[in-house]
Amino acid sequence: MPSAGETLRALADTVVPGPPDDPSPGAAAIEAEHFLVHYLEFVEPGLTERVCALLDRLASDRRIDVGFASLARGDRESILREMAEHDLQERRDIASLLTALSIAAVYGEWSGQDAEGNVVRRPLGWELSGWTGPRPGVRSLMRPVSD
Amino acid sequence: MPSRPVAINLPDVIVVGCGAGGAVVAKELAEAGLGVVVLEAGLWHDPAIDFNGLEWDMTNGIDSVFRWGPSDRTKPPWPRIREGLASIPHAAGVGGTTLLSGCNSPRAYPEAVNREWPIPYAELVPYYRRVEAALPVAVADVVTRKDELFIRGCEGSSLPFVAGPDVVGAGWRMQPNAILPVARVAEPLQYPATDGCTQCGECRVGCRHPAGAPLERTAKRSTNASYAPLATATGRCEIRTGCFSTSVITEQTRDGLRARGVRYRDGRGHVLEQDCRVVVLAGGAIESPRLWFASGLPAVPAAGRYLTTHWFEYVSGEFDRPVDISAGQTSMVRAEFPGLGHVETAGLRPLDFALSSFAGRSGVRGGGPWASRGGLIGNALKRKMDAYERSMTLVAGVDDDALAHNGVGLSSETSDENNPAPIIRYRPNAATEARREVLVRKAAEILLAAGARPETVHRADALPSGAHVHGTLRMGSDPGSSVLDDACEAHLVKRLFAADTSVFPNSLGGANPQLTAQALASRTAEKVVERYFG
Repeated sequence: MPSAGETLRALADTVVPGPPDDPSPGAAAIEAEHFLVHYLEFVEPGLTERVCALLDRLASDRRIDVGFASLARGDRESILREMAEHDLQERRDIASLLTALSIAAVYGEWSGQDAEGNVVRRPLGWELSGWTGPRPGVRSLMRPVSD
Repeated sequence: MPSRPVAINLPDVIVVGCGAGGAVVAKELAEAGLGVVVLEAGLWHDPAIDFNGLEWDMTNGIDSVFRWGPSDRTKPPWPRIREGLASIPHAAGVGGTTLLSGCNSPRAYPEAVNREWPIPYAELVPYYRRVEAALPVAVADVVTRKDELFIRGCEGSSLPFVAGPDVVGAGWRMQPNAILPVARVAEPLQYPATDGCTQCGECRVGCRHPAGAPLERTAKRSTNASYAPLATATGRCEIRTGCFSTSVITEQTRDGLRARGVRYRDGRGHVLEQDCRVVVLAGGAIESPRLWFASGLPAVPAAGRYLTTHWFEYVSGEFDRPVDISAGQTSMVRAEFPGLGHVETAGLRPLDFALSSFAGRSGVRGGGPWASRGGLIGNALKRKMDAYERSMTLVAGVDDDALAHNGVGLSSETSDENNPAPIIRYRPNAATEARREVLVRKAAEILLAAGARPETVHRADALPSGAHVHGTLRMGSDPGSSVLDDACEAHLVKRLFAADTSVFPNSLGGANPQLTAQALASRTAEKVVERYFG
């Protein structure tokens, strides 16, 4: 079976894909798996291992002896959707958490931050979405001086 | 952070929680001459230092500045067991959840109050006026592109303009916000040259502008910057931060049970007791019933029950031109649908846009005026995010029926350092779902009439969230079906009041709850004085 890092990288890439499945960079380009591992462990120590084991088990239910990271994109998407619709709330909660963390890794500020949390480069998600980042005000939406 | 710290050693009143309602009741009581101690679980942040305008860092539910959890962000958040709610975006700290709200401040729909409350809407009006003046609440006179489009959409779908603030018919109007008036352009964009709202779009990640402004002149009137400073400025109110209230101390008297103090854990982990003459619960619709149960207060039938939400739904669409939905106040226009709820614009940054618009549940069937619905991942999500700058999302908040099976209890298996964790159960009924279906179609209609491309309209199918929660210690005249009387004092525990959204008998018809909680808190302060300090 692949490592937890590979599994979570494949998971994040399923949510926010990059080349060759999508023309622009995605979660893999920023190594979003580190973000996911950090927060999964923060939520519950050992959760990373449990989540990866679950993903690999669901993968092997589809193709014997194949881990989640080795599945084709379509199969990975199907597994994530099935988890999101599962009868067990715990399974749905895990799907929701994995999806949200993958989106947050890309479209939040994390990919532009240094170890101290300072934004030192333009985060990938800001680049992808065209957002210019925090600003102290929007002059065109303020009242004119002569008002 | 208090601008004028004071120590109140023998308070007349202890207020538990310094959010929307707690700060109001504290200020009113202190101005009335009473000594007040506010016990607040979180910190009193300095926006200039602690707020950075970054979405994840400020607002995520795990380790952010505004999460519901210990001030030490390396420790896990305080657990909440959710059954039927996808998330509960509440904040610890002076200001409470007003720190991360848009501070949209409409009054309740009069019909909703007159239908189920023990007091008529007219009795709330003077208190609405008082709070609207103190914050202040106002409509903006310079609106964003998203709000212009919303107005076009309302007019295009034949919704009339309605005058506020007491709304009895359907229509659109300018959003009343607890935000200082829009500032004049000045160089630099710094206080004092710039005084007022700079339309920076940071309402939901913590207002810190204009740069250089003292706390009291930051633009959004979350209670950390409005009522809390006013309370401490009296010299008769002490706000003790990092103090988690663990039980209400009571004693049996000839007249029955009465509150006489609060036990709490301070920031160093010490368990302390503080005596007082009156206790006011203001920790919100989850923490107030949690404290009720943890204190062993009477297990009256309505305690912890009748929780309502506004079960938000989000509808997004793409336009041919830039919309710039991150600019300006979170929402500056709203559409009112008394009997159903409301629809309003939503100023969103990329992460908030993605999570609210496209991270809903999957696999939901059913047609409507939308091209797609449910959670999006993969290429579909990326195409939506590519169009972020040309997109707009509307949020619909529904009038939710108050049901006995929805509410808050205590977990027997999970706890934090303070008390057993709360279990929050929520399952809407068919009537709420039906109203929501009508309302979301109206939102889509507005979006399409505004010019959204029909093939891009997407419905989130959002699971219920606890962003707006009410009920759980509802007020009423019948002790069999309510916890508090019409002065918001507990029927069976004298000198114990509540001043937060837990007191609402219903969901206000779907109107945003902040202002009503504050108006009622203002009234409750008067009742406290009348009954025990007159």
